[in-house]
Amino acid sequence: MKILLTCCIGMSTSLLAETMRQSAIEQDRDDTIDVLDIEKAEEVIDQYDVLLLAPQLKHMYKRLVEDYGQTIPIAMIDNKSYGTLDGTKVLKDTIEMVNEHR
Amino acid sequence: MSKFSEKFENGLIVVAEKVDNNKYLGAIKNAFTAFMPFIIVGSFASLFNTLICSTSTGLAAIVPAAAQLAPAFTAVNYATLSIMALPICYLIGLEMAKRNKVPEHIGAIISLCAFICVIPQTVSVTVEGLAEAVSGGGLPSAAIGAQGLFIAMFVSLLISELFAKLMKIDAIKIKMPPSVPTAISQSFNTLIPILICLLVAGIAGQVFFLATGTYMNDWIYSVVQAPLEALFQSPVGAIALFVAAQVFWFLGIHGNMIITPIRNPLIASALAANVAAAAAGQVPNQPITYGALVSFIVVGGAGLVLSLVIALLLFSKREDERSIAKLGLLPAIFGISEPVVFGLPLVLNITYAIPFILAGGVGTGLLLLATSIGFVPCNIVDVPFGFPIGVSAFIGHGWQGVVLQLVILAAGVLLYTPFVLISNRQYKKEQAAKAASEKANG
Repeated sequence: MKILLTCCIGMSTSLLAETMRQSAIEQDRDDTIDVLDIEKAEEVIDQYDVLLLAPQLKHMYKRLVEDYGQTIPIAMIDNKSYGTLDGTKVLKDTIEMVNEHR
Repeated sequence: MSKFSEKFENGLIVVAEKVDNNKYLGAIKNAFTAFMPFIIVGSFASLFNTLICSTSTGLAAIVPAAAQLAPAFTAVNYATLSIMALPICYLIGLEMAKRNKVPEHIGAIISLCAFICVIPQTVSVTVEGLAEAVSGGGLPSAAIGAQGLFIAMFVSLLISELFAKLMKIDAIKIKMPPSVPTAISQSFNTLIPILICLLVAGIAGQVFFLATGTYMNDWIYSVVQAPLEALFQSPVGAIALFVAAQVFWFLGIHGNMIITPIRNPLIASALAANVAAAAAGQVPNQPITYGALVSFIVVGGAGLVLSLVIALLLFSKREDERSIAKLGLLPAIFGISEPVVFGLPLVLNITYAIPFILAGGVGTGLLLLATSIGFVPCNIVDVPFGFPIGVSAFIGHGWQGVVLQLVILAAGVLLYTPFVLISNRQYKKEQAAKAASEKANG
C-alpha cells in the first residue's frame, strides 16, 4: 500500500513514519510510507492509496476531503497515536480504513 | 466542557479553516515558503562576509587578499534580500494562477510586469555640489527590496484576479482557424488580457502619482507596511500574535501555520532591514526575524515544550507523564513539540492550558527585553528550523544568543513547574478516589 503522511513541514510526522515503516517490516508488509509537507503533498496526492493528516492540520481536513475525497481516502491520525508515535496502531487503522473504503 | 468554551473552540477552528481556505492568504503563504531558502542563503552571505572578508574578525585579518571577495558576498546578499519584492511578486502571481486555473507562467510574469508598472522606473541621487537631485534609469531599492513587499503583494493579488477574470471572457479571445495548433492559439488568447492588465496597472500607477504626488509603493509602505512592522516588532503586537498562535495549538491546530501569512512578510522585511543597517554601518534594530523565531520564540518546540519536558522529568510523579516526557525529549531539543502536544496531551488539557498558552509570550518578551538593553544583537544571519538548541542561537545571535536561549528555557521550566505539581496532586486525588470507590464496591 502506498501511504502518504503530511504535516506542516513534515518534520514531526517523519518520526511517526519511521515507526510505521518498522511495524510494516515486522509484519512482512511491503508498504511505501512517504512524508511530505502539505503543499507538496497536494501535488502528488494521486500517486498514493491513502492520505493521512497529522492532527495539527485538522483545520484542513474538510477542504482536502472536498478537493480530493473522490480520488483517495483521507484520514486524520488520532492524537494519542500521533503523540506516542504508535506506528503499529496507525498502520493497522489505515489498512482497515482503506479496506472499508474499497 | 461548558457551552462558552465549546463555542470559542468551534469559532477558532472556523477561523483556521478560513485562513487555510483563503485564496489570497494561501498564495502569500506559499510564495514566502518557496522564497524562504533564498532569504536564509542571502543572510548567510553576510556571515561569509564577517568570517572571510572582515579585517578584524575574518580570514582577512591573516590573509589580507581575502577582503577582495567582499563584493561577491555582497552581491549574493543583494540578489536575494535587497530585491525580494520581485521574486515574491512573481511567486504570488504563480500561486494565484494555479488557484485560478489560468496559464501559470503568464500569470506570474503579468504580476511582475504590473508591479514594475506602478513603481518608479528611475532612481534619483543627490550629488554633492549639485543643487538638484540627478535621476537616471533603474529600479529604486526602496521599491524592489523589503520595503516594496506589501505593494508587491497587493499588485500581484489584484492583477492576478483581473487576469483570471479576463481569461474567462470569450469575446476578447483572438479567434484562430481550427487548423492552427492549440498551443499557438493559446498564446494568442492571452494577448488581450495581458494588454489590459498592464495598461490598468500602468494607468493606475500614473493616476495615483498625479493625484497624490507620491508613488503608490511609497504610500503603501508608509500607510500599511511601516505601521504593521512597528506593531509586529513591539512587545504588545508580538506577544499578542505568538500567544494567539499558542491558543490554536491548545486546540490542536498548528498555530504558527495559521499566523504565517501575516508573520512571514514581516519577518522577511525585518531581516532585510537588519542586513541593510549593518551594510550601512548602523546597528540592526529589528529583533523579530525568522532566526529569532526558531531560536527564542519557539525554542524547544512551540510553547516551550522542552521546558515542560524538563519540568516533568524533574518533578512529575506520574509515570504516564514521565514516559511521554522521555519520548518527547529528543524531538523537543530539535524544536519538534508534537509528541508532547498530542501525547501528554497538551491539547485541551486544562491543567496545562495557562502555561502552554502564555509560553508563546515568554520567549518573545525576553527576546525583546534582551535586544532592547543591547545584550543580544538583532541578527543579520537567519537560521533554518531544525537545528538543535545552542547551535541555532549561536549561528544567528552569537554566544549572547545561547545565553538568552538558556534563560528562556529556564523561565519556561519555572512557568511550568507549579502546574506539574498541580497535576501530581490531581493524580493523587484521582488515585485515592479510585481506591476508595473500589473499596466501597469491593
